[in-house]
Amino acid sequence: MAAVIRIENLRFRYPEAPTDAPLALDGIDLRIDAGEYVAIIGHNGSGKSTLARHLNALLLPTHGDVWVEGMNTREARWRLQIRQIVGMVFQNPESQLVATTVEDDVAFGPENLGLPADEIEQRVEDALRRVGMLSLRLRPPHQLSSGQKQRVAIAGVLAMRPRCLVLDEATSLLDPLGREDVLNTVHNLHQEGITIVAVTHSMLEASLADRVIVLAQGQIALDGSPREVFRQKQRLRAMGLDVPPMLELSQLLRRRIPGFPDDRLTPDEMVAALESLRYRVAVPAAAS
Amino acid sequence: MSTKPIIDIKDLWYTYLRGTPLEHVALRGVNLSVQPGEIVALVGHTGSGKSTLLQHLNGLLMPQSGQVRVAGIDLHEPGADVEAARRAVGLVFQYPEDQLFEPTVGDDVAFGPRNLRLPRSEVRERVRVALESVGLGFDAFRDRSTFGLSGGEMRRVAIAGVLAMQPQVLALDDPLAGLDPGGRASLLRLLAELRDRQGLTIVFVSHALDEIAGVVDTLHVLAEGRVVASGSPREIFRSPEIVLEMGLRLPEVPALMQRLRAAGFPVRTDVLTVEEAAEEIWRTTKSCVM
Repeated sequence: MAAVIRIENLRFRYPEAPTDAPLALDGIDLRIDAGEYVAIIGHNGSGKSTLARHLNALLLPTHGDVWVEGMNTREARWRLQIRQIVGMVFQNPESQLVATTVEDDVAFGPENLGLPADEIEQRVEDALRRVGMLSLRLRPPHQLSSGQKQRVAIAGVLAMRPRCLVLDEATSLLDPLGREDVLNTVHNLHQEGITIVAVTHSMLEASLADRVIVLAQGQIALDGSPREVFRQKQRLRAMGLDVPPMLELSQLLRRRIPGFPDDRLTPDEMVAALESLRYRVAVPAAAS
Repeated sequence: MSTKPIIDIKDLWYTYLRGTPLEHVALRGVNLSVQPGEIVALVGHTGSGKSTLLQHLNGLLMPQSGQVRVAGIDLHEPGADVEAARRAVGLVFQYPEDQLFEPTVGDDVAFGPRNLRLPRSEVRERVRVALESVGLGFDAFRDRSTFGLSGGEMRRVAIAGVLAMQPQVLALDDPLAGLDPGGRASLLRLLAELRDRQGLTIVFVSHALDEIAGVVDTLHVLAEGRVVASGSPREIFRSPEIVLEMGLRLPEVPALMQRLRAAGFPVRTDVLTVEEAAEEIWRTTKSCVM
């Protein structure tokens, strides 16, 4: 697998921070491969958003290096290209929409690339179709629900044809339906082959990723599959993080039911585990 | 409960930009009553009228039609004492930390009491009590800069500023928004403590059914400007159809129980915690496991 992002010994201090303040990022080494779906979790102030902003050169390392497809973010000549490869979606959809119609909003980025009109139109249509917003292309953004607005923001990024999408708490201000909407969209984009990096507070969202990275005090504290990471319940608690409720239920049931899996993460997995339990016990009962 | 409600709303209607082409009916005949000392959550999809309703509790919006009685004050009567209603009901807006403006925590919390022209010693005492009630030590925080605080601390300072006015009811618009899971849990604990220790009545808006279920006494589900369901979280989760229709999502644990029930497990669905769920699943499966 090719690395989309490679980070070596990244340290970062906000220029306005006092010199004796702890580093916001303190020695991050990380490689994210093409096609991965990575969730970054951590307590407020752990450095998650600071790390996300290094992924497309919105912030530059104080020490160490970040490469996007081999291009060092420090080098100004790569910056536009880097930002096309890695697109960012932020927390608040309101502050990301600029135009008076959905399609003009999505066209904003490609227009700034100076692309020919028919190419722009094609990109806008394609991007809106991929987030399921094509039928609302002529609507003013303020008439949309929060989830729809966030999907338009994602379309605006997709119109730049990125290979990696970084979502910085992109669902945290949305209502439950809006959140589902956006998560489904992200899932589909990942299926299409786009690399996803999602900074999130939600353990349920983190358990949808293939890989979970836990940051604490500017360092990577845990890095593994959701199952590996969420098994570290005590360590997560100590970092002010929860585990998904299904995992907790799994562990409580294991104490009562010998052999019950203690690592189910999602409701689907839990239902399946309980159904196979019923099947397992139903067979000998019928035989006796 | 048989005591007299501290908030009693009957057939409340409210239309934004009435009489213009942009007119929008936000409340369509809301009935709501809240008992003293109750913790009440208003839940509903975006645009369901939750915030509009909340803003009626202290006369920030005045009833266009219907009755709003708060702490004995009839806001729908001409010449109602709106000032008294505002003293009785402290309103905390969404992202209240955006409204901190004094350089120090102590001055910010003191702003309201000073405007009441209270003696200095009384102002100081109110600030002390308010800060301690939100879990921020008076000596540790009063001289701190409001801008050096964490998001959770800033929100607590904003709440302290409202508490310093000594309201009977604390009304909060989405107080959990934008906080991390630790901050959300501790803010919910704070709301429960304010009720338990000081007898405050708490009314707040939230989307987070899963987190609030363990804290609230009563949920009122709003949709399109009406209250479409009311009850304890257990009652609501027992027959959640209305919640689902309204675009809300059940918390993971009761949602799991609904699915298990649909799959033929005879489990109860009105459970709130993972411990209860484990107990219930064990109760209904042990006969075959053992």
